[in-house]
Amino acid sequence: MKHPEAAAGFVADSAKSSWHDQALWGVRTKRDAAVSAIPEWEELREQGARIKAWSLAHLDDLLVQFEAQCQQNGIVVHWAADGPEHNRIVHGILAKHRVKKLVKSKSMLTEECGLNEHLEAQGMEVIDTDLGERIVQLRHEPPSHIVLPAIHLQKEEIAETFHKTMGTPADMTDETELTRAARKDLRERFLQAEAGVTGVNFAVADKGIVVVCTNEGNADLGAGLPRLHIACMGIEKIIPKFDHLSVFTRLLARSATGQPITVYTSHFHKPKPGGEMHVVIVDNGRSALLGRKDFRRSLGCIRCGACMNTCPIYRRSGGHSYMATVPGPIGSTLAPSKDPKTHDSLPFASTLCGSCTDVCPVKIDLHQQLLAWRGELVKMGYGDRKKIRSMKLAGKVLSSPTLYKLAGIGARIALRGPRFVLPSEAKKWLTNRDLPPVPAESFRARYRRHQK
Amino acid sequence: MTEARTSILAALRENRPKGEADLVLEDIAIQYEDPFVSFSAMMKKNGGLVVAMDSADSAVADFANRCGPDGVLLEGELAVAENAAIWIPFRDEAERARPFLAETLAVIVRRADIVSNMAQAYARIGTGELPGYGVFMAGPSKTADIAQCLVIGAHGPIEFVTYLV
Ligand code: SF4
Repeated sequence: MKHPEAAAGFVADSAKSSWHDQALWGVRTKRDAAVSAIPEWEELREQGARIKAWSLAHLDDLLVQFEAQCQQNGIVVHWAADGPEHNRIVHGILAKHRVKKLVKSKSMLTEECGLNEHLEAQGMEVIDTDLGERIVQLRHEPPSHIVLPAIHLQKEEIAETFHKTMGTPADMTDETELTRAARKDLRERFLQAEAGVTGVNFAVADKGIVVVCTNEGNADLGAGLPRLHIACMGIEKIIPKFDHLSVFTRLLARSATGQPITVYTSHFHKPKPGGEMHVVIVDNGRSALLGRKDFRRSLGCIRCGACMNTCPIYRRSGGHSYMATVPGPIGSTLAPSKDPKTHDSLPFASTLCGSCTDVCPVKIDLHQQLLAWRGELVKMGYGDRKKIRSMKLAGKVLSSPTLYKLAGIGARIALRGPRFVLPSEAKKWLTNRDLPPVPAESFRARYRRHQK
Repeated sequence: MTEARTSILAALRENRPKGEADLVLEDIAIQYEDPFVSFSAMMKKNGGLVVAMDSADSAVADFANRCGPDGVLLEGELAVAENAAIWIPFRDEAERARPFLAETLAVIVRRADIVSNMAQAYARIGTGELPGYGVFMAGPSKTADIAQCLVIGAHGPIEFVTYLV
């Protein structure tokens, strides 16, 4: 399925899709307010971009340094070439400790690798503990946003899910009561869990530290209560120095939700007394992406979600329409690098307005990458055939003054007529929009008149 | 050494961009004339309570009145004016999960230990010996995962009190 078809259902419910649009725009507005309180913001973004660029140019050395530091601190380090290997490693550690129940905090990487399904198939109970992730887990859905996993759902839908799965009263739709119910339910599970799995926001090479940023406190409970903590990270999470954390902790939450910092910024440096800590470093296509000059900068992403919140397509079509672990502008450039055939419609799910690039805290050239992907995909023989044909036609028309004039006359006549005479492709475009009235005079005619 | 390690490192060596200039970063972070004022304003915005006290002893006494047996009182090593984050190091013997299980968490910080920004904070933390586990905490736990409605008190503490002494 392609993005437009996958988005159709969401777009058709126009009340919900406008709510979604407004809710995310609200997050974008909060981001703007937080950013404007920092006069050096643009320089800070530049620093973030430079640290990431430097890290990508030295990833091999930094990972080796990180590994050595971790080992010195008593942390066990594992390497996985791809998703299945990552899952086997995590399962192996858990099996060795005879773990039956584990709690997880948010990690897009384990989502990408399909860790939950893998562990569940082997009889383990995996509980996602971030509230948004728990909600989608209970509904057997994937997250629709990397920071706000359940943003595609409204209160009543969540209330219904809780009613069915946790037995809360059917009419309990108050957000505080629902959150308290989940807190109580999950508190029990935290206390029973035999292992905690977390993601990683930043891995500090010079000290061997793993940093996890959350608001709910679930990562700290999950890592702190059970004896065993496993942190899973992509190779690109590495930053060179401890001091560099200041740049990223200043950028991340402001860009993500407009908070000045996440409530908890947790630094794991050594296993807890009597406990064990493991770090699993995963490639899964990243080292290959590093070799692609036009696209490698996407590896600098710190997963703040700002590009989604600002994207006019994402806001209107919802995260599920991307059918990729990471949706939105960043997902649309990451996904085709893994599988261009499946994800060939994503780089076209963009207006190329550049808003994503403007807000990205590490200055990834997102809209340029999407444009570059369009070219690549067409060269590879993918992409929307119809769109390519119409582009070719447009190219011809625009390069010939006579054809352009004729087309203009034709269009003015056609657009004045009733909508049902329009070709079906054009009608599709009008599903959720209307055209402005057609001017009486063409630009050419007007120009000529003014020249006189 | 595992096969994956060898192959990943080889691929990275092969594919890494060349000629990246040295990384030198200037000191750009915002400075506050009165970090105390900014810290307090930020902590309120984050949903936490700020109580000014003349000494640590009076803070301990106030805490006993305010929270009862279910609260946890910790000491913060430094605080940050730009975002109201407080650095709490857990030395090796400390129970890591305890403060996160509490309904009310209170932290004592010295006013003299408020720095302006995260750059200063990390510079200071980095000079000492790093704890096995350390957390910047910036208020009570929270979530807006239900339809973007803010709820204070997710999994961690529902109430967060800062004693500035
Ligand atoms: S690409 Fe940039 S804006 Fe988008 S999630 Fe990543 S860091 Fe944030």
